[in-house]
Amino acid sequence: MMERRITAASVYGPVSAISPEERKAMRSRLPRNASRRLTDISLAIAEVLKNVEIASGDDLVFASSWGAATSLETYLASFPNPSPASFQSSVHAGALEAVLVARQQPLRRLQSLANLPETLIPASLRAGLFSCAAIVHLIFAEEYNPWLGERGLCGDSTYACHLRLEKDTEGEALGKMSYSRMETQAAPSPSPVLPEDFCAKVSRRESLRFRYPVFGEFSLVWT
Amino acid sequence: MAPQQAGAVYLAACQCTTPLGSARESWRALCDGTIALKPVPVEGIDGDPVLPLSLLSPLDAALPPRWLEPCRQLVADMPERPWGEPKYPVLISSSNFGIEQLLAFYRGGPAGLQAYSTPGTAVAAIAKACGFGPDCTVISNACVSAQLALHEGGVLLGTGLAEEVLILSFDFVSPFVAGGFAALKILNGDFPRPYTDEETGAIGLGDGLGCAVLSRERSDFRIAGSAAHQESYHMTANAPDGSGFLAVSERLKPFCRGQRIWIKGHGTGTLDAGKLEAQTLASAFPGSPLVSWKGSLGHTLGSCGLIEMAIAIEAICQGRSPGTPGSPSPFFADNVASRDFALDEFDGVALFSSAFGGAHMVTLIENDGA
Repeated sequence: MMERRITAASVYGPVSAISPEERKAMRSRLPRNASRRLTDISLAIAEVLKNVEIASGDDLVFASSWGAATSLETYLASFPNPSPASFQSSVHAGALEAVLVARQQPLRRLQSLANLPETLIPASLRAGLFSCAAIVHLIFAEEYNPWLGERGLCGDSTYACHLRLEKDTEGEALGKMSYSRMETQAAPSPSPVLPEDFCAKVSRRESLRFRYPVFGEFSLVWT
Repeated sequence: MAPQQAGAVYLAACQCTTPLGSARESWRALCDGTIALKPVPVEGIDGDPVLPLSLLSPLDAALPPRWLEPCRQLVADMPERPWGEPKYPVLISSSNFGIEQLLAFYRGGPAGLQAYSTPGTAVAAIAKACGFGPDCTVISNACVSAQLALHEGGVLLGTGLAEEVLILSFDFVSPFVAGGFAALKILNGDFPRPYTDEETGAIGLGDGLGCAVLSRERSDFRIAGSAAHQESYHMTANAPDGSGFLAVSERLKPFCRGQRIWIKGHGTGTLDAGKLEAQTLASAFPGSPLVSWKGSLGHTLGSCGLIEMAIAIEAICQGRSPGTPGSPSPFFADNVASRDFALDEFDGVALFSSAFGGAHMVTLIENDGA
């Protein structure tokens, strides 16, 4: 059994697109030079982190099946004259790192997972729960891009979700996340817990328990 | 059977494939100073640039992808286990995956390319080819990807979630990534010369793949520790005071326990990062010779940490480390070993990698009986 307290939780979206007004407001909350190049996924991540303090000894697990879809498509479209800015933003974990750089936020280890949606939740929860750090931040995020989305090469919406998990069992908490192995051949949950559904439950503070073949059993219980 | 150390992580197997060959063949060629990088014309980029690349096969968004069969072959050389089933997780890392296929598809290529175009679908193709079960985790954070996978594998073993862990990392060059680095103006006709004090910097890019099995069963090589630091100073530059390199070095030191180590650095051929790395490591680990092999192999991006670890382990087995091919003096610091050297007096090797966003990883491998 492994357990961590949830001491922060925030969700943005899902939205099909961020409106220009909202995008402007989100950018205004970040340093100007850094914010002007941020695409929607980075703005969504910045939004869920806006009230979060991250210490330099914390770990962070970034979970995104498709990453910075807009930067990726912009880069693809720039050929035969490749855009250096879009290239560096398109590399996985770039969507998150752009926010960390805007905040000038060092941390210990950035783990970055890119499983398909069907296994992204159990893989990332496992990585977060078993992190060696006392505090680990889980960030789930996706970005919709029309060209990629129409071809099933990115998600259907833009969203971000943050959870701070602390190993210390004392103190106030919003809830608790735990893991146990499936020692018996218990039936798994009827369908995979997909990231967008998971984030919606976090947003509604809805408790969740699911078994995942091979990965184990996870639960999220709100105080 | 030798007793296991509590929590110890051993390497039951470790191998790589580079354009120079297997880990042993690559080691021998690097000791000889062989340069795998060649000037290669890259199509699809304005100006038809000729770029320093080290390739296993011609650049071609073929179907099936040119990385698929090499991955399958490398995994087939590993101990046979129910990989991907309970207690035998698979961690697959890359910074490219099937990006070559995505670019070709975007530019009007056949629909079949779509199936390999995202990290998850590329890994699914590998899992199918290798017969993996469902416990496959996809890890990707640019050029520290493989070492993140190694760290995660160690955690799974240490917590008892795994009996053994298979780590596979692969990166194949494409116009996508060559175009990007050329646009950043560090992939040019000046062949990379890691840690060399010169006027312009240059990196080369290389194909490569590595595979390892982590176990709690004792073997000759132990992962004695790992450390990480994320600078977040700039997307493509390190803090100019070297504090990022220093932070990860300081986090590694408790694992070193006064043992004599040599260092395989990141050393791509960029000037600022190379200078910071060489000078910081010279100060943090006095007396530890520093080498880089990217002046020959090119930068194998997300997989460099595992590919170069396989070569480092071969070096320990052979008692000799390659020097720093492609790099003449003057160097940024006195710790750079330009020529191959004996490893008799060393207890282990620290393997450093760095990435976009100021990510740093280091893995310490100790000889536990080699």
